[in-house]
Amino acid sequence: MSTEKISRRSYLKWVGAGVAAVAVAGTGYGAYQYLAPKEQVPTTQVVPTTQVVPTTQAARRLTIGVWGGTGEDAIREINEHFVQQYTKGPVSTAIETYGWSSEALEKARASWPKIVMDAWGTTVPAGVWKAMRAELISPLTYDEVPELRNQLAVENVTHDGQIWGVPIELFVEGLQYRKDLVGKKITKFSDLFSDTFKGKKRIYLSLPSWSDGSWLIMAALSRGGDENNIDPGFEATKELAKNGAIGGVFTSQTDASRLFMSGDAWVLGTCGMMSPVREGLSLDLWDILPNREAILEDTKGIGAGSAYVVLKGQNQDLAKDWVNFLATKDMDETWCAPNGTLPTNKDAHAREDAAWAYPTPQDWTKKCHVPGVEYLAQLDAWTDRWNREIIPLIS
Amino acid sequence: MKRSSWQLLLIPGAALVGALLVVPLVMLADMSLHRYVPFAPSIVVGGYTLDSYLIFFNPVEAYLRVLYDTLAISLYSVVLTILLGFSIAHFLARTKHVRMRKLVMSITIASFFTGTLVRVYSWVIMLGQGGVVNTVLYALGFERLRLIGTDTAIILGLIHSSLSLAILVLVGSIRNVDPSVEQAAWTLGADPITTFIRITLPLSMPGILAAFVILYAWDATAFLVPMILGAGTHLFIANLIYDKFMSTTNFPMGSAISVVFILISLLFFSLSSALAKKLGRTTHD
Repeated sequence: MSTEKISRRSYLKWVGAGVAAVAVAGTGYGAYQYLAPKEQVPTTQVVPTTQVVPTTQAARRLTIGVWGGTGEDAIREINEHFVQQYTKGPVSTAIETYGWSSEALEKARASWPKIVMDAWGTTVPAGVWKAMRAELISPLTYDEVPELRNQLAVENVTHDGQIWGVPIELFVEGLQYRKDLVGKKITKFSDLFSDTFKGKKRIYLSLPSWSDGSWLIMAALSRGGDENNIDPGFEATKELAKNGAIGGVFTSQTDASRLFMSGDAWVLGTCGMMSPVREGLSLDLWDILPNREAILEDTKGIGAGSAYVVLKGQNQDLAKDWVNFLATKDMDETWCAPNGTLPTNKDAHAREDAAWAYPTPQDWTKKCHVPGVEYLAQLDAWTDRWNREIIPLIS
Repeated sequence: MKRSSWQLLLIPGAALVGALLVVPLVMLADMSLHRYVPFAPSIVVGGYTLDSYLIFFNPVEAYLRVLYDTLAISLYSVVLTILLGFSIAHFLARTKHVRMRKLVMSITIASFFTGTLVRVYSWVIMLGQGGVVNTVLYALGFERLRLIGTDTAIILGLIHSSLSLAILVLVGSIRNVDPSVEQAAWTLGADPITTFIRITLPLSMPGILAAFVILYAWDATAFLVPMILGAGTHLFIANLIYDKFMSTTNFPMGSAISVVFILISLLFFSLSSALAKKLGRTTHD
């Protein structure tokens, strides 16, 4: 070895190179820890004879995916009850959050075959259908999930003769408007074309790719079309845009809530009514159509909802027990209460202050249109057409 | 000990970074050449085709307009950011008031560590219907204005999100301008404005160009600002890519948009480097 003194520059180079090497090694080790399958660590149980006896049953870990915010809080509470009440063995739970249900699907797809969520919440019918098409989820049977017999809207999660999810809530994507700002009652879709809104840019619409085209479908229904004949929907939207009535689009419930609560948006089309209930907005200030008493005279609201799907994986039996538990009356009410949505369990009740906003189950098909799923293959083309024909008119 | 011995320790790091950069780009390019099958089980399906690129460059479609909007709005915001940032950076570089310099620098650095989402929502509070601006206007007897969902809101949001970065980049280049050169100009009778235009600005140009490149990359890849402050009225490329990947699972199209944007960015960077070299030679001549 040289007996020359090491210069400061040379010393710093060696230190830097060493740090980089350690960082790389640490990254590699961390990646290995993340990717490697985890072994179950056996627990031990102390029996009254003071002899420590290793049990053969380890605590199984269930990861539940959920939208952030109030959904996460509700699932935490539900998980606590599940862990306490589950009788088939020790279980622990974890939560994985996301913003859109599409994110959950892409997270699951990207990490496959590593399971990041054993069950996750998604939209009905589109989200369930997309997850089914991705071949990531397990079909459910009445034997595996007995609570399905007590749920509404199971037909909306049934595709190709199999049930692919457990519905947990219903809501209507309708026209939500500020009574105090609009200044008059809205009773039909064509009211949006009145002078009240011309030039004001106060109608905000849900982006087709985010809401699976619900606004376009509602607009199409008002002019004799539907999800399989969407041209009338685009024409109606273009007419509104040319009137100067459209202020922009929203791409999340948070965005919609902010626009509506602040008064930037006088009308949201289409949106579930969750945020004004959650924020406690006075009923003197807003309304949603259709609701329990009123309809939209020339169109229908879009019937929507959420469901939980179970990922194919080693924990799917446990996950099916969990979704069955979620679908019980008390847990379904726990899920729906924060946002005021309609529970799908036939014995459960919506929040008292929110029940007015929903058609009764008997009126559901009269006031709401539940689209099929075949149109979803056109969603990308609709999005391109929206960017081509609508955005330039509202920019 | 050989001078290059220490460099051997960098090989694993360089290899990892290279793999993490190059391999995904190659996969992205490959994905862009496949046919789109709606909501297919696998990410990459369908045979090889140039369909995605043909759609992107079709003038009837909106993709070129979104690209133009992204580049144009980013250009406006970068120019304004540099104008604003240069003045603050010049103050920081030249002021003799130590306390004031430390205060402004602290605010700049603290602002830099504030997340983009917080900054965007601060503008929502400022510009919203019940926000500060409209409250003042209404109090003065004017009508409330619709400010969210406009170009102006997006540009303000972009300036806010990149101003701290601009200041930090520019302050270094201004400090590199020897103050004695400016003093020599004053001594020879030049007024402050002439000194600034003929001495300070040209000598700071390499730094300004570097700031321009960095800020343009920062603004052109913005996602939250156009989404929230623009209210979907002006899509940026990042919003389009996100939509394609997350909403409609059109991975080929999302990949094609990404590849085109990367190539445009590389072209832009090459031109900027060439210009920077030329400016460097001119400055030293």
